[in-house]
Amino acid sequence: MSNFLKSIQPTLNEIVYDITGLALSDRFNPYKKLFEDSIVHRSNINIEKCKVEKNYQGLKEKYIIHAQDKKADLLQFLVKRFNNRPILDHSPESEFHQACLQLIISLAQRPLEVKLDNFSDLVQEQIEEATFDWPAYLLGNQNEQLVASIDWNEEESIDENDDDDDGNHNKLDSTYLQNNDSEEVHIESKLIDDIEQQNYSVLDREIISSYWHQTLSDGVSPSLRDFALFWDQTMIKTTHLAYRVNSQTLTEYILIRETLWLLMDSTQLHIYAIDENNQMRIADFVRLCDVTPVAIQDCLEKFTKLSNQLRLANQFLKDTHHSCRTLSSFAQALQEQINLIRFQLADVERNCLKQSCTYTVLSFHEELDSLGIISKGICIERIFDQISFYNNKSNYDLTLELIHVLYKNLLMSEMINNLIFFNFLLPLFISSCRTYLEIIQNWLVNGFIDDHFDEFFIKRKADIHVESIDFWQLSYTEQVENASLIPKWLACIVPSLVKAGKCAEILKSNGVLRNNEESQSFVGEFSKYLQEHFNLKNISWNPLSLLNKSEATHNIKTLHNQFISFQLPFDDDDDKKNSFLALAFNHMETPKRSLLDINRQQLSLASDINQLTTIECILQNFSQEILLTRSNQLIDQLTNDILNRMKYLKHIEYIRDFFLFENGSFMHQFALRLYSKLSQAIHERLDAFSVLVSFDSTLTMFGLDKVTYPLSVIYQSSNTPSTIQKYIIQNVELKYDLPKELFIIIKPEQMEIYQKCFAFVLQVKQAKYVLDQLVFSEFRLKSRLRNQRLYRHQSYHLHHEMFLLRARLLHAVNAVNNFVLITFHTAGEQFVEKHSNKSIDIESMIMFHEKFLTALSIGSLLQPKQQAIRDHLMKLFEIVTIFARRWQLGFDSIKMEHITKLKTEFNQTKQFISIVLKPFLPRMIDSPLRALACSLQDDFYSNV
Amino acid sequence: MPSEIITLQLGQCGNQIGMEFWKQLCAEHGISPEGKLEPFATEGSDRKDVFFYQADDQHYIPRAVLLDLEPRVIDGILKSSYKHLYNPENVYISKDGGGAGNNWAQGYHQGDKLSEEIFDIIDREAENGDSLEGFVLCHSIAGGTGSGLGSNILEKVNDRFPKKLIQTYSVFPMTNEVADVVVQPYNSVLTLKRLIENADCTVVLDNTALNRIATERLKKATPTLAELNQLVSTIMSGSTSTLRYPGYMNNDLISLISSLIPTPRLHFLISAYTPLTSDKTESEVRKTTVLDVMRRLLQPKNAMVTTASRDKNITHCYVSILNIIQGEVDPSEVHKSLMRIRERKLAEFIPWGPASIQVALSKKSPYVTTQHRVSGLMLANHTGISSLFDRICDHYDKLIKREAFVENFRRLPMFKENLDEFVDSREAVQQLMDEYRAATRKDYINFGNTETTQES
Repeated sequence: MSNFLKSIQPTLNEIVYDITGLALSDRFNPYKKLFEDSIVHRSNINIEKCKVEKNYQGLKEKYIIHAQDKKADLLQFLVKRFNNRPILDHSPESEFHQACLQLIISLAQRPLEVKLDNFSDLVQEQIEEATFDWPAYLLGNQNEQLVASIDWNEEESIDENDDDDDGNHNKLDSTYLQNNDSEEVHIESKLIDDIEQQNYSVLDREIISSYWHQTLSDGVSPSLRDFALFWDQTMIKTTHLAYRVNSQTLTEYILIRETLWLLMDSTQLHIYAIDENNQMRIADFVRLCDVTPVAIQDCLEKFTKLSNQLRLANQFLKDTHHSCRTLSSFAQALQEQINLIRFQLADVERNCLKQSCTYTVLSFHEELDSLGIISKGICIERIFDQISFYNNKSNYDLTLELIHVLYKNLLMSEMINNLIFFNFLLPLFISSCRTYLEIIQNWLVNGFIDDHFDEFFIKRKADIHVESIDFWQLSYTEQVENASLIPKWLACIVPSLVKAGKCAEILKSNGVLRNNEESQSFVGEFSKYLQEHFNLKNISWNPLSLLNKSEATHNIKTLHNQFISFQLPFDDDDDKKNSFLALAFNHMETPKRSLLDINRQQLSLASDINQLTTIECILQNFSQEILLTRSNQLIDQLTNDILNRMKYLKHIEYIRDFFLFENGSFMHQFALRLYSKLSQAIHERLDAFSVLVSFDSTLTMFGLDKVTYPLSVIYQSSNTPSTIQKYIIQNVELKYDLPKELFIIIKPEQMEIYQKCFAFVLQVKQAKYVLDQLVFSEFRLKSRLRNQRLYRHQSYHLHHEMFLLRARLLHAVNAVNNFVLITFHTAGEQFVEKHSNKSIDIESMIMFHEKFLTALSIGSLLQPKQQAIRDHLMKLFEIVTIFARRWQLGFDSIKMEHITKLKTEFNQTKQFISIVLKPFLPRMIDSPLRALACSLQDDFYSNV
Repeated sequence: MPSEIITLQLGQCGNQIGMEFWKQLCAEHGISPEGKLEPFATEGSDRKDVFFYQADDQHYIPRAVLLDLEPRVIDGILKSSYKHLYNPENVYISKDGGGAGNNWAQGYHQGDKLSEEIFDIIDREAENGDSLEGFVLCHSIAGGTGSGLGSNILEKVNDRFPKKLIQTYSVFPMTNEVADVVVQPYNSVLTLKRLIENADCTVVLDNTALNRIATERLKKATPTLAELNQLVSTIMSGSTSTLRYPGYMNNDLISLISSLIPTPRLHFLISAYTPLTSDKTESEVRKTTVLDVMRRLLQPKNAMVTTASRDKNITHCYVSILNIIQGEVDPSEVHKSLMRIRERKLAEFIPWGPASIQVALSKKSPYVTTQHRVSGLMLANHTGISSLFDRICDHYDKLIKREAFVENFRRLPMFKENLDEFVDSREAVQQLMDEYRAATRKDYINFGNTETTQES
């Protein structure tokens, strides 16, 4: 026990026993302790309702002893009322409280002179009030006198266990029920046991723990506290302690402590001003300011403002229904920040208590300012000004707005080089982004958006399956009212992100995407990134932690929380040196740097903020290096998957080979078989059997295994044969087994286009084939049999006509053949060439494929405008086949009319095609159709 | 496998150009002189099976039949590094070894005598493939074996394989100087008749032009026979490149030549190749574009046949053109080049039918490095070729007028009784020339008709 305490001990005892009329043997410890506490270190903070009540009871007893029964009754009644009524701002109730307090003050000052007239009406009103069984209470059988139906009573909690309770933040907004009787017994028994040995350490501990766990601010009625305060004050006035100070200082002192309370609790608080007549009234800051200097007025206004600002945050935090994860995360970060402020305040208060520094209002304001609390208050105000959390916005909009506002403010704070703003906002910002990053992370790793609260600005359309045709176009949509709210650093990678997300989903559905452990956590990366770049600022991250270090005492350890690392190891009961009081008094003797100094230092440390890259750059870097890299990785992964595992280009090559006859061998042979089949059986049509046999024999020829070969052929014999096209090959379809993973690029219905291309090429090639086959061997044979006179023979002219018609047909068919195949080939080559580009990704692959298909459909004249040409080409092919049949039936059977008829038909058809194509001729742009138009002209090279 | 082509090499010239052709093919397909696939030849996009087949040990054997009546040239081949390339069963040298003595009739007669043995080989070779497309005959028309035996075999092949395509690479003798073989004109005319009636397509390789090209293009004062043969093999390999490197078009021989030949007799094709440079002179390397190549191909000086653009008041013209462009070519370039050719009127076409320039794009062998990006081969049906026949007939007429050297022919069965065959052949050639000339006129469409009317 310190000397000081020793010195005041006798006085203390005197006061206590004098006022209460108790003897030492009564062992009425709480009562005694309360008084001691109040006197020694003004710890009205630690007041428990029951203890206060006991004080009044004691007082009442004393009145009774002094035959002032009426006063005693009144006091008892008032205390009851006092306990039962919470004080409301500016309500009639408050007046009652004022009256009550006034009485008590009066009683305390001049017990026997108090007149009771003012209160008689109150008494009459409240006759039915219960009486308190004081003797029973004193004997410890106070079970029955549980004070019921008191709002704040329930919250009263000085809790021994609080030290171990890490989750105590929750208590801020939860009702905390506790049976105070059992606690009472507990405390009592403990105190009874060791009151003599204990040198306030237990007491200290209670005080301190109540600081750290903010229970007091909620649990104790402010009015009670106020009362205690004034009681305390009165006690000081009536005693003769050495450190008594003049009234001005005292007022400020109280004011500061009130302010602290205000800031720490910030729900209901009243300043009770005492005027010259010792009359007490509730004063708000403004009114108080009327009589104070302007500077102080300013300060007080700022305090008020600050309290309002903090209240905004607290109000938000108390609203437990945070609709989504981002908000919860934000709330948690905010809570931590608020806690930090509270700890700072508590620290200030501790300093007050320890008397290590004596604040005036001005210096207190300075202190708050240097601690950054005022700035933080402004920050809070700004944030809550700019976002309205309470009108029913959809989560995604709210989230986006929150991040946007935080980011905007962060940028601004950086711009104005306000480190406090910055350090305050940064954790908020990080934790607000957290959910986004988690969602993105999840998305990219698992291939789906895990967004139960609908807070992400990209939404997966549930009705579009990953294998669906529209997947790439429609599966993900941005759901934002105002896309400009997306922070720039994120917005610039959104396209890649969406792309990567789709890729992830596809990869997942393809079974390629594995949740490999190495996949980095974006959240971790994000904060790591920021920390790395704000290395210097890390020191100033938490001013208190620096403060702790500078105090160089071993009573502070870093906590699990990286932002708030402040804890006093008070659980060390036995080590008396560690007791708070001991420490406090020790520090009173050793001079140390003021908080202001420390703050200055850390500000100068962090003043090179400009030399660091800006937050915008850092975030940009983060999104570029981490998010974009990951996105690109995924996109690349899918690209690789498609290109390497799925062998996309191999499939395209197959498709080109099969459907477009790009590779001359296999399909050429197959087609030749079909054609020769057709030309063998002149009056027969193709049937499914012969098609299959042709296909199989081609496979055999190339030594290919029918089962494993990806191609098969179908012949669909139509029941209604077209009348125009008798001989043209039709209804042969190829079936190519495309892996369904590739449907994302080559959609099933696009295979139809290939199919149509194939059908068309088959027809074109057939026309070319049947004409090519018309060699003159038969004619040669005949000419020799006819003894060289053939050319002089009558029929030669007929033959000559046929030869020339053949040449003309061949010319036309060649032109078409060239057009079709060159168009296909060019498109194919370009397509493949595009894929050799390294920066190819799934989106461009889809695009290229679509372009490829467009080129193909032009080449096979599938476009609606080309229908007429196509029809007439079919007619041309029909003429060709008929002509070929006549030729092969033998020259002898040919009559001039047949030739003439075919010739006329051919001329008409060709003329029509030429007319249709004519518009292409003068065009300057080279197009395949122009080439066709040119090459169809007979006299193209001579008619310039 | 598909669309096999059997090469028949006849006589001294035929075997020599054939040899060069196979050398070229081996180089292009990465096949060693022993027929083994070279280790570097891993790119599998070519089709070796058109001209080769594989033995049980997987080595490649050319689908070639080597025929000669005297052993000198073939012996040379069998002593060269390519001795193991050919199937020895396909090499046939007449037992008596006397050769044909530059006598067509002797060669033809030998053909009758030896046909059984020869067709044993050809039939076996033909059955070896799945779908034989046709025969390529390499020979000269001036000597004895290539012309006489060649004619005989040509007729017989046409009889035996009426549906198969027969293409010949026929070397025509020099006409601008006195030849060492005096009976050249006889031999030529007699062979020409067989070529007219039995071949589907004859690529005319005019020795005069070859010499000229070798002198002018390759800057050789006196080109060697090997160099001339190299030129021929370039043409041969170029014209078959679309078959060997299958692409999206022109995968068989027939599709190449069908559009070139409008009527049965007009099947004598001239050829041109560019760029031709002697082996390793870098200053000769040009920048090649499709237009550039096409334009050069149309220049008469690059043609492997010396033709007159005008004779007897006739302006000769192209019946049809096929350009085979080798190298990395964008198809759209082709169209642009054709437009330029049209604008500049670089080619004169027949007035009676569609003017057709077919362009086939072909890949280049990955194993043969060439200095030029693009090279081109033209096969064209040009009416001017009649002037070549004209010159041959001119010489022939002069000889036959005096019945010079006909005794050598009379000794053989075909001419024992009369010289009708000479007359017939001369008439066939004349008809061909007439038809070519008629093809320059607009009324060619009535060709058969006018003949008839003239007759009547």
